[in-house]
Amino acid sequence: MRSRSLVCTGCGCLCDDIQVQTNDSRPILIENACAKGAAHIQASFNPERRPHCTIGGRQCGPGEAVAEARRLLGNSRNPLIFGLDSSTLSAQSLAIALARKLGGSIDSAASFSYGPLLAAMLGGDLPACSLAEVKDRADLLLYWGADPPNTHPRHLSLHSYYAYSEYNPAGWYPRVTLVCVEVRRTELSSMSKPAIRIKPGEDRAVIEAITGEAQSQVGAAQGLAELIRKSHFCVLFCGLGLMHSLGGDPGPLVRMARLFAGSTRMAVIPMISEVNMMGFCRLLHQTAGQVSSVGFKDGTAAGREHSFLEQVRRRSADCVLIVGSDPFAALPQSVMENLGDAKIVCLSPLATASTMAADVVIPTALPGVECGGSVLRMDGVEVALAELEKGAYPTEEAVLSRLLEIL
Amino acid sequence: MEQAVHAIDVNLVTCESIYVSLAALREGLGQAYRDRAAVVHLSPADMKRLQIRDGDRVELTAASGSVVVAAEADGDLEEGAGRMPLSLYSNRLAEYRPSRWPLPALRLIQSTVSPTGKGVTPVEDLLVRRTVA
Ligand code: SF4
Repeated sequence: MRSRSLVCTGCGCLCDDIQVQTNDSRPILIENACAKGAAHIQASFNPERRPHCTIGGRQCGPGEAVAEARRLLGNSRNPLIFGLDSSTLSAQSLAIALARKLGGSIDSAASFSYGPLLAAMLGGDLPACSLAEVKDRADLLLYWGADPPNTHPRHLSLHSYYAYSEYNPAGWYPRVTLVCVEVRRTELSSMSKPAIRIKPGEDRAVIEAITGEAQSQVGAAQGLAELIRKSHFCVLFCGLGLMHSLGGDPGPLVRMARLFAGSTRMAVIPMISEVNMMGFCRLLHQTAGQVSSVGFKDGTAAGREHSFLEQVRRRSADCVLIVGSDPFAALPQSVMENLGDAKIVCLSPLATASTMAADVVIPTALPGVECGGSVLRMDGVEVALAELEKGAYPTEEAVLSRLLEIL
Repeated sequence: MEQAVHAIDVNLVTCESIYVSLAALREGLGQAYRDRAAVVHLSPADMKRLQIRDGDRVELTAASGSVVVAAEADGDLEEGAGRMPLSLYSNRLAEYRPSRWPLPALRLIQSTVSPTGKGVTPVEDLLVRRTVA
């Protein structure tokens, strides 16, 4: 029997207090993890949750699958690499090098989620802070379009509301104001004071009423503006609900942050679910000046036409290498149907809708369980992942390095 | 007595559900996933107009496709509003039309709801393409 400390890669919280006891290389006790984290760790030990190494549905060895992936990518006129939000920084670097070598495009789920927000943060247009700073310094926690009990189950206990050491004398309530802006009743809204209920799609109007850009007043805006103004340090946790409602445009948030800059400290933390979307965006930004949707056909170019969604919608990608991601489950089926004629190579630690759709499947080690590496948390802090048990699968790094070598 | 209507229009808000995530992690896209994901929550008033009860099947039809799921009443919802877990089921209904909206409309979907005698859509029918040996 042996005990190991682990960083959980079940969601963007990257909880670093997980203890796992193993016996015969299998976990028999997982401490501190939430149900999602425990299921994530256990999934890698469940043979039914792992994909088979296949070519056209026929089982094969990894060497043969890599050779077929090389053939498909090498023959492609317009290759596209997608995913990588849950890969280690070194796997991400290798994938960028591979896209460059192939003269193809590379993109991640950031292009249809947090990408523009992260670009604004990296460009200095939106103030950021670390999760360590949130604890005990922020006096207003504002979750907007975010539902951590369903997406990041330990976010409040490890990084924000319950992580405070100072409590009010009457009981266990932390000395901090917890506010949420939501379109529906949630577990978080029942804890928040106040819980601000808005109509679906009304987020932009609320922000513009706060910044004075809107013609008409929106009920929620005044009270919210007052709360922010009175606070010393407001942390805005941006959820996907907010990003989708804004059509991905961080502009209104940038203007709101500017408005309050003179009176209070305001910082933004994106509630990213993927464990290393931040890392991929930062790496791509350093390499190509953009956080997503980059093409290397004639030099380096970035733009919507290089995004996964547009390449799929226009049927321009003829071979897609999916790395550690599941776009077939995450995106509208009406879009993914356009990949009918494209060749798909999928590197994945778990069996997913995307491994079921792929021509070539190469099972890989699950980062944070079967291999280590580094990732950037939602607040940009680098976190080192530990390895619990080396599994039978190659790492994404090993497969990508091999492809780089032989292509 | 109120006249039953055959179909109503709803604005569906989708949201992540930890139960859907857990089902997918533990068993993949199996029965547990289907049970958790193939659900739409409607207002009691709309349930009444459609003359349906908790667990009855409804067909959701949007511009991109349709699915059959189970209906559940949610007193928090207003008439004309619906809620659904984000999953392969909601993604069948979602569309991506960049000329209208820059992102795929995964989280707010206009749909028609009508009672049906059909069974819940099998997950296999929602998988875009399958590679078979
Ligand atoms: S909150 Fe996220 S990182 Fe933490 S244990 Fe749960 S799934 Fe893992």
